[in-house]
Amino acid sequence: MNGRSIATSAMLYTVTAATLVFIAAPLLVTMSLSVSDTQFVSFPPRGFTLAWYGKVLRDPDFQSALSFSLWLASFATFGALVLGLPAAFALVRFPVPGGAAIRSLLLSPLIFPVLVTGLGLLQLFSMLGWGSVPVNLLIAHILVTSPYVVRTVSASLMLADITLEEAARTLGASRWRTFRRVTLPQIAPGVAAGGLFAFMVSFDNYPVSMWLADAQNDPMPMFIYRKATGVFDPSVATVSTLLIGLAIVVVLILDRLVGLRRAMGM
Amino acid sequence: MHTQPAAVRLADLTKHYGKAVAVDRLSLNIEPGELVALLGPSGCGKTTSLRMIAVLVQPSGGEIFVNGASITRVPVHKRNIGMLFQSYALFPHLTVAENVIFGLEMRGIKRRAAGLRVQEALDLVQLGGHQHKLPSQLSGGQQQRVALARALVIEPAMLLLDEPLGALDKSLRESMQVELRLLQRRLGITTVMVTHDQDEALTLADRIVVMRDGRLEQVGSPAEVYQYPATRFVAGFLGVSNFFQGTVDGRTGEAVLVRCSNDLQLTVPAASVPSGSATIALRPEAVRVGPVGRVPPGPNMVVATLEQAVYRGFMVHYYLRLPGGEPLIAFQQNSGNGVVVGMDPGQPVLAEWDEGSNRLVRDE
Repeated sequence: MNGRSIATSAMLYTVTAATLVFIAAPLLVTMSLSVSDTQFVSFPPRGFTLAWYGKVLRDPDFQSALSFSLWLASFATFGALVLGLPAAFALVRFPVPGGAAIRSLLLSPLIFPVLVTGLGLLQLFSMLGWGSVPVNLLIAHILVTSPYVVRTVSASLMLADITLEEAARTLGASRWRTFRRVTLPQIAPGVAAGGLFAFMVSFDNYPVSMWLADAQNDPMPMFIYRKATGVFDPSVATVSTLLIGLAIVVVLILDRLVGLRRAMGM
Repeated sequence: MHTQPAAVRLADLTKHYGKAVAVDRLSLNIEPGELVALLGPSGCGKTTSLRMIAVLVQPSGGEIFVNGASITRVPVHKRNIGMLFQSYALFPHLTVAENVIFGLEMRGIKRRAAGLRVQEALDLVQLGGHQHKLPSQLSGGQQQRVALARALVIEPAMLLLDEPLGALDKSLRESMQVELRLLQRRLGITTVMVTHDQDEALTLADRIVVMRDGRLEQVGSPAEVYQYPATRFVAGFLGVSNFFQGTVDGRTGEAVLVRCSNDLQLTVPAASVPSGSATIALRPEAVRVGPVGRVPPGPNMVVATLEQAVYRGFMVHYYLRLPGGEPLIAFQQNSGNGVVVGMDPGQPVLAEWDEGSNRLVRDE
C-alpha cells in the first residue's frame, strides 16, 4: 500500500467515524438521560431508574398523542400508497403526455419548504371552510408523504423486467391480474420502502402539523416539543427513546418481510 | 396437448413510430401447422411484426386474421397465443409448476385438471422432476424449456418465438433447435419465429421471410431462398455470395451473356433477356479452384491470384483477387482422403463454375 492510499483510507475512516458519532451520539445521550434518576434533565445522567418509563406510559396525554400519530401515519401511508402507486406505474409504464412535468409536480413537496406548504394548506383550508382538523392533517400528510412512494416505486418499476408483464399478458392475464400477480411481487421491496418512508415522515412531521393541529388532535412531535419547552424532566428523553425503539422495530420487521436492504440499494 | 392448427393471415400490417416506418404493409399467408421464420438484420421490423401479431404493439394499419376471422382488435390476453422470449421471461417468484400453471389459472381451469396438464407439458419438455424448483435454480436451456411448457400448456392457436435461443451457447442452441423443430412438428402448431441467425432460420423454418427496412424482401422455403435469392440483399444476407456487375450482351444458346470488366464473361440461363446492366450472384461453394493449365477460352472461368487459403476442417476457404481487383471467394470441400490441395498464396489459379450457378438478382 502506498502513502497516498493510506492517506485516503485514513480520511475515509475518519469521515465515517465522525458521521457515526454525529448520528449516534445524540441518540445515545437521549437514551442515557431516559433512565436518569434526577428531577430535571442533566448530563451526565445520575443513577438508574425505569420510573420515567412508567410515568410516561401512564400519561394520558402521551397515550393520546401516540395513538393519534399512529392513526395519522397509518392512514397517511395508506393514502400515499393508494395515490402514489398508480401514479408511479402510469409515469413509468405509459407515455403520459407531459409526464416529466407531472413527475416534477408530484415530487415537488420534497423540495418545497415544508413550513411554507403547511402555511399554504392552513390558508387554503380556512378559505374553503374545511373545519375538520384530523381530515385536514391527513390530507396534508398524504401530500408530503406520497412523493416518497412515487420515488421508490418508480425506481423499482424501472428495474423490473417488462417482458415478464408481456409474458403474463400473452398467457391470458388482464392488466389488473398482471399487475397483482407479476408486477407487484417484483416491486414489493420498493413499495415497502416507500411505505416505510411515508410512515416515518408522517410520524415525526412537525412543520406541517404545527399549522394544522389543535389541542384535541395532538401529534407526537408537538407533544414532545411542548414537553421539552415546559417542564424539562427526563420523561422527554423517555418518550424519544420509546420512539427510537419503535422505528428500529418497524425497520427490522419490514426487512424480514420484503428485504428492505435490496429496495434501498444497500 | 391438442392444438388445433390455425391458419394465420397478415394483410398490409403496418407500424409507424411518428414519421419512421417500422413495418411497411407486410402481407403473408401462414398455413396451419407451418413454421415461418422472420429473418433480417436488426431494425428490419421483424420483431415489431411479431409483437403486432401478439398485440404487444398496436398496429398503425392492416389486419391480422386467424382462421379467416380478424383478431386485430382482440386484446392480447384474449388472443390465445403462446410466446417465447429471448430472456425466457419466467416469473422469478414462482416455481416451475406455478409458472406453467399460470396461463391455466388465468383461464379459470380447475386445479386438478390444470395440474395434470402441467405435468403433461413438463414431461413433453423433459423437465418432469423439476416442478418445485425456482427458475433461478435452472440452467438457461432448462429455463427456456419451462417457458416452452408454459406457452404450450394453454394449447394456443399459434406459437410466437422471439429470438428464443439467442441467449444460449452454440452447441446447446443447436440441440434445442432440433428439439424445438421435432416438438413443433409433432404438435402441428402454427409458429412464427423471429431471428437474426440465418442458421436457425434454415434449420427450423418451413418458410423464411427475409425482411429489410420494414418490407418483405423475399419469401420461400430455405432451399428456395438460399439457392434462388431474388435480390442482392438476400444473396448477401443469407449465406455468402460473390457479386458481378456487367452488361447484357445478347444470348448464347439457352443463356444470356453478360460481359463484366477484364474480359470476364458470364452466362445465365434465363428465358427473357433483360437489357442494360445486370447483377449476378454466385455462391462460393459453386466455384472450383485449380492450377492454371490453359488460358481460359470460355465464359464462367477466370484466372485469379490466390491471396489466402484458410483450412476450416471439412472445407477450405480460398480468398482470390480478380485481375480487376475485385475479390472472389471459393469454398471447396476436402475429399477426406487426407490430402489437402496445396496452393501457395500469390500464385495464379484458375477459378471456374457452372453456368447454372449464376443467379441474376435485383440490385436496389
